[in-house]
Amino acid sequence: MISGINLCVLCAAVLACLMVGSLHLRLNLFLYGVETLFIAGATVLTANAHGDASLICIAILIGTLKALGVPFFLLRTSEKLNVHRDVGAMITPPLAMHLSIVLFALSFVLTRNIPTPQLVVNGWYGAAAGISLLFTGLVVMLTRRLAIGQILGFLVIENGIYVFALTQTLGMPMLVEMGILLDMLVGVMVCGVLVFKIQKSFEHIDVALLTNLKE
Amino acid sequence: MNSQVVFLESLFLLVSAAVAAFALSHKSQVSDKAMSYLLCAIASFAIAASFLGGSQIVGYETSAPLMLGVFPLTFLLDGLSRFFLLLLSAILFAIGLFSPGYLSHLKGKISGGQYWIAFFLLALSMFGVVLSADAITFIVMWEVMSLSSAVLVASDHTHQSVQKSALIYLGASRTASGLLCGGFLWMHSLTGSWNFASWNFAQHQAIFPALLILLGFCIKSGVWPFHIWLPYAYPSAPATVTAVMSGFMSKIPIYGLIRILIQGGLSSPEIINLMFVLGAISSFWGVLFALVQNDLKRLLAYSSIENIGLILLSLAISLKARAASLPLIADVAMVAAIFHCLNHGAIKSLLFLAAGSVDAMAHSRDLHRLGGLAKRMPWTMACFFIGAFSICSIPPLNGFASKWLLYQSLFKSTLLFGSYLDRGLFLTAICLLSAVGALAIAVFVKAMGVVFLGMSRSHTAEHAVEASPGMLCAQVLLAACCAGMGVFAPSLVSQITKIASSSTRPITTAPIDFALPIPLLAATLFATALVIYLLFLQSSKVRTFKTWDCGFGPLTAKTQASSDSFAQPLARIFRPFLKYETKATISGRDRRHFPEQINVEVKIVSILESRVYLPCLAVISYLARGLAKLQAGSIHLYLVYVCSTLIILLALGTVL
Repeated sequence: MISGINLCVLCAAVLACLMVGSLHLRLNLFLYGVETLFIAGATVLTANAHGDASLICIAILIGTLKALGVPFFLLRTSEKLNVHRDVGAMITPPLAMHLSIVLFALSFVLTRNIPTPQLVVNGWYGAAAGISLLFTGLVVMLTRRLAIGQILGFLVIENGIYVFALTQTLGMPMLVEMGILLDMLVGVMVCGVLVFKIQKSFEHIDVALLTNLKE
Repeated sequence: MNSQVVFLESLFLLVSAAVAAFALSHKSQVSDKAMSYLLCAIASFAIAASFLGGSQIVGYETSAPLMLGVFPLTFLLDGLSRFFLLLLSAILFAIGLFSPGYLSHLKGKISGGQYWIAFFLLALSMFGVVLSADAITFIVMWEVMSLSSAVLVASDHTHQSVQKSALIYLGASRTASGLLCGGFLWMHSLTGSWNFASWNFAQHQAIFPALLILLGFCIKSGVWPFHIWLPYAYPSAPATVTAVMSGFMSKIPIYGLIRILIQGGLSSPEIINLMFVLGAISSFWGVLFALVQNDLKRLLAYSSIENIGLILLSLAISLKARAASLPLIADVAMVAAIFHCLNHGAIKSLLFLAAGSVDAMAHSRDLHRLGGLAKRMPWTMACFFIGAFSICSIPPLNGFASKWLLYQSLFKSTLLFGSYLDRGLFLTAICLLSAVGALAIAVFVKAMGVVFLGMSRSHTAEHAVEASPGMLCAQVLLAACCAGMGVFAPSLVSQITKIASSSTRPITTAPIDFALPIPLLAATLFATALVIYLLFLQSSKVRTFKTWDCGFGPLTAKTQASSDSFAQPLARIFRPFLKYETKATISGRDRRHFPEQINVEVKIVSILESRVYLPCLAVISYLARGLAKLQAGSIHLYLVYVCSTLIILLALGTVL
């Protein structure tokens, strides 16, 4: 029997896989928002299960800042730069989606032997979802050419790390999670500004062409 | 005065001097004079500090703030380190005197700030290495020493040749440090201690760490076949740096060998035989290559290789004798090694300083462009001659005393050793050493004759003037050291014997009488020379006449015997070892009788360098280029690396 927490994080992982399949920025950002909302839901369920009030606080922060604030900020950036669709790199989106599904399955194999605390029920699913999100984030970064795609991939990786930590420990200290959240937000802001700068200096935001910078 | 207090104070003084140099050198104009006097002051303080303690053994361990992470810095001042400290301080004092005059000739070529920071760091770290009592302190000080000396070698870094030398030196010292680290870590895992005193090399498992440590030290001191860096680094560095590098830094590995391996009871016959062979080959190889060099400093560099070889050979004899329980020979050879370290330190720093003043005054180190400096630089010549006589072991100078001891130990070993194989080995070594001695005389006769005698071969050499008083003072001081150490050799030897017998571990009970009748020998030699002069040479009348110039017109300085023409007959004999080629082309209408132009080209090819080291380097750089392809500059490729590493690590975690 899969618990609510695990269901939520597995849904988030599946949504991330779906995200790989499309190059439309708007759809990607929407899927990322929904995925993060699922993670916020998982946090609320964890708070209920362990009776930890501070997790509720974190869940609210994730829901507002990560699930709504970040996608809107990136959406605004993309509209300012007048880009709506990524070009895609290395492998085509459908193939990339299948790859991430394979990695989703692989992460179950890889995390089977990860030792979990006694109190965590079915920690395996959570760990698998976390690792799968991490892989999916890497695949997103690999298959996107625009800088915004890279930021998105990074955000998915960050989600994966959070999910892994949430499901493998009995709730992180509030301070740690707040710190991570703050770091991520600052990172996204800096990246947003950087994307503008890159556009200004190079007249494009294509990271594949950044190899020119190599001496 | 408590010796521990003195010891601490001297260390503190050194550290603060380095800091002061650092602070002062931030200004672009550093006063060379001020820095040199500071160096002199520190050196004299160090001399005082090492004397005041008497024969006490002083140990010191730093406490909380002055620690390397969790490791305290531990120092030990005993008889052995006291002798080396004394040598270092004397060399530094002489360099302090020499520097202001010499550096004024290098104005604009080297940056004073960089030079002095590195020099003080080098001095500090050399004190540190000699005093260190555990592996961590040793390796840290050793690294500071290697790096700061590399910076000093690169002082005049605008020249491409200097850049190349500095790179080669850096490569060699990195390899040496790597091997040493490996050996130290291995020993730590065997004994569980970083302290040298608790390392025991007599056990069977310690053979590999001992080998690593030996190789590391061999590379740093320039023993064959690891001597490649030495003839590059020494000529490129300023003379003051070369003097301290050749005079003292090349002895630090020997000190390390005594301190770590020999006092640690090394007894493996394989390693001892390796030392013996390497020492013998180095001494021969060094002197042979010194003979065919045309750069004065390069010649001296090869001569350093020879002397390091002799020291290593003495150590090996000492160890062999200890293993065969012949404590008398063990002690004699050990004394020979330590004494030769001190002697060679004084001699070589004197010779390099003299070469430096020749270089500064005649603006060339090339033997083809020097000559006739005897009239223009008489004091420098006198000092150089004393150094050269000393290194050729002419009594009563100090080089003789230590070589005498080495020969004594070899002769005694040949008589007393049990196995005929060993006896044969020692007999071969005696033959080899006599050849080395003869060749060394040829080398220095060539150097002395070509640089100082005859006519000047170039315009710059013709207009050379005597070096400044400070530079001369430094050389005279070191020359006096050489003479003094030779004359007072018996008492010095009895002092060193005390250390040596404690280092070689079965302590000899019988007092050693080496019978070193230096004054008697010197008197005999002098009297013989006088008799020969009075009997044969004086009677021959001096005729003044012009040399027949074959009808070509007036003779020029170029018709004198050059360094090549001096070395060629000897080089021909050793053609199997030496790839020495001369090519002469004579051109002109009737080139047989009236040549217009004669070109002579001399080429020495180092087989070891071209056949062994260059291919190795080529392979390494080929592999490195392959590795550089990984760094493509593409973010996506880097992500693939990250992703695959993650998968592999997780998979490993699952499997294991």
